[in-house]
Amino acid sequence: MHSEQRLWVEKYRPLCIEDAQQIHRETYKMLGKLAQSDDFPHILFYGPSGAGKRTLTKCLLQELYKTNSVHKIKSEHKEFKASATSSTIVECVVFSSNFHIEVTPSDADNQDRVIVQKLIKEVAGSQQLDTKAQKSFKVVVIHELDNLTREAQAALRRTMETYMPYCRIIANCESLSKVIQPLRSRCLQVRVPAPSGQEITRVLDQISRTEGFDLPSQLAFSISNYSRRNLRRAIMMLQTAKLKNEKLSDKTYIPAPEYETYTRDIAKMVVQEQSPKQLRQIRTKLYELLTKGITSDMIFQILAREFLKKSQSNDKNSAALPEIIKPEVLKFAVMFEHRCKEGSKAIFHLEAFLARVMAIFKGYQIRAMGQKQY
Amino acid sequence: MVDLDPVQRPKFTPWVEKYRPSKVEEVSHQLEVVAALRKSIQTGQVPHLMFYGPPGTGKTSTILALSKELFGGEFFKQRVIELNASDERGIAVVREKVKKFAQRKIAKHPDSNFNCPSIQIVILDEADSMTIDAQAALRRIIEQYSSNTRFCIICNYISKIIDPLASRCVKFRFSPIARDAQIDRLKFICEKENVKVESDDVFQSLVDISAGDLRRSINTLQTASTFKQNNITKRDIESISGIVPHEFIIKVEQIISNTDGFSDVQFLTQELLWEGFDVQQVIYQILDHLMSNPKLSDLKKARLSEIIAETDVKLIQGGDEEINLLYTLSSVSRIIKVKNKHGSHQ
Repeated sequence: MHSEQRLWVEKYRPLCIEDAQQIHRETYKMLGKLAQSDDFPHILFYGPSGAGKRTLTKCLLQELYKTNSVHKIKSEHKEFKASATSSTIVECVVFSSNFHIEVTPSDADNQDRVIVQKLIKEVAGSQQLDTKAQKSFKVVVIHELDNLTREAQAALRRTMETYMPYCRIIANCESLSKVIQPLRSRCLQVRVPAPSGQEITRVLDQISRTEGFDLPSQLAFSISNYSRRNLRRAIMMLQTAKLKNEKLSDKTYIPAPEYETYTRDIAKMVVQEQSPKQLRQIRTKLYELLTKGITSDMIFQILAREFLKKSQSNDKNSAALPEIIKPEVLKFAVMFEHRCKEGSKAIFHLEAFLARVMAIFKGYQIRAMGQKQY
Repeated sequence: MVDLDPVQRPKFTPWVEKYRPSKVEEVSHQLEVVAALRKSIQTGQVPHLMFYGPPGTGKTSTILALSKELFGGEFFKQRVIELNASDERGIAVVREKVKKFAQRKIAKHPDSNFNCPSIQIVILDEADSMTIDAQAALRRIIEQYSSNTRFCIICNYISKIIDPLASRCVKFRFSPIARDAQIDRLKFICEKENVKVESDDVFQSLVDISAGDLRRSINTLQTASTFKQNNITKRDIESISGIVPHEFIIKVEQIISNTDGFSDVQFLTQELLWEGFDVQQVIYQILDHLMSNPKLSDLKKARLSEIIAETDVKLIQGGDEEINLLYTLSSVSRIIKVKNKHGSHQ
């Protein structure tokens, strides 16, 4: 075995439809057919992360142009002036092959509109140079369409229609509800569900066989459980486990991502003690998470999951709250998460939420005590 | 600008472009608008226009068709400028580009026999994404150059257009396209493109899915036809249109009306997210399904609508899907179950 240091996620990513028969077989079949036909629509892949949206995109490109050179990608750093008058410069990294370009306009935060207006229009407006190419159009791949600002999405609307003869857009996103309706109605929306636990273990098995080591089925099962049906994460976990341990056994420890355990600790702290002092300690922890680039979305998700999970009576360490106050906690989770989106400082709303949970829980405990006394 | 004329296009034309009406009379369903504009074409008198309405109801089509009829097939490009959200439209552009266009001398029509009104048209498509400043800059320009330039402002939400601008235009509301009108158009396209469908049910489901958005139903039909030329079935349409299969909705209903713990709903939420369904679509379809349930009292239905409306706003404003879906499902579950306990209002 070579000591090749490639990420398995990349190494074992199928690059053409023939190789990618394990998961989403129907979808690949459909796309294969679509690529043959003359009128190829704009495509929007949607589904949870690690479900295979990027892999689908790559395979589709291969199928469209029937050449491996779509995978020969060069990256380029581009700069744009935000507008004719201002001096703001918008930067972005563009990945391109001879047939397509890939951009993540949301990298430019609030200036993503400029990238859509300048770059995409520029590419979309010019014709395919190679007349012998399979298709008369180029492809613009837009990642994370749901993270684009509304203005940027609006800017795409007419571009998608007017430049249709020369250009098709393949976009992918996690949550469709953040993509404006007019864009959705212009695309063929392809749902990409997360692979099932079985499918994940099968892929892990195959990787272990090619790499030449034993993967106990119990371990494969628990990895696929921990990965929450995210294939990318599962493969990463397998590789990490393999790097740390020479031999894998049923009991090999699979570390959960650090931010997750860290956030779970916060939930536990709330349940353990409800006081301003505790809240102050939580604040430092929250800051720690936020400065490490964990989004407030994720923190809210994990917290809510912890508070609302089924309580096991024998587990003293659990952060699960009593059933009766769960609806109220969830209601406030939704409220504060919404405020967090509207406002600018996440920390206020996270803290307010946790303080509220403390208050609800304390109230519940006092009531429960009172009932016992009488 | 790319050629706007559909006839010149290579064969990879989306049907929505190919079958854009070239005459105002051909615009589907918008009878009032068509009647009003017919007069304009006859007399050559065009007011400033404002078209508003949901997507896919023919706003852009109407103004393109109108300018073609006013100025004649090819020539219209010299008299019309189209600015949409894909162009930069800050205040500077309004001042320079629009003003320059409005100021210039009008090109003469090559055919002197053609009765061509001596005006030009500025189309501001998707105007609700213009900044307030840019809109304010337009106010004066509209009046100043009204002798030879007409503006057509197109938007989805009239509330996003400042009042002074709205009051300078004749407003036309484009309503969602009625079933029959949509079906007629779809049938017409099928005939032209030589596409066969299994039965008329296919059209019905296309119209159901699109909810009045003709562009969406035409696009869906075109995609379906790339898989199958003949015998397109209702199932084909459903599988590509992004709606949640009915079995899932039934399953959701069963779980939320029988569960008594949070964890079931939590598990269900996770399942739905993993399947990758569009959360908005899921909640709309659940609402739809529950509304048609005769066993639920009116009061319950009102409460359900309230919850779902609340979630809808939050999702549109970028709320987290997991938390919001969980909240909606658990609230819906509680509302339904209250009824089960009393069991009296049936």
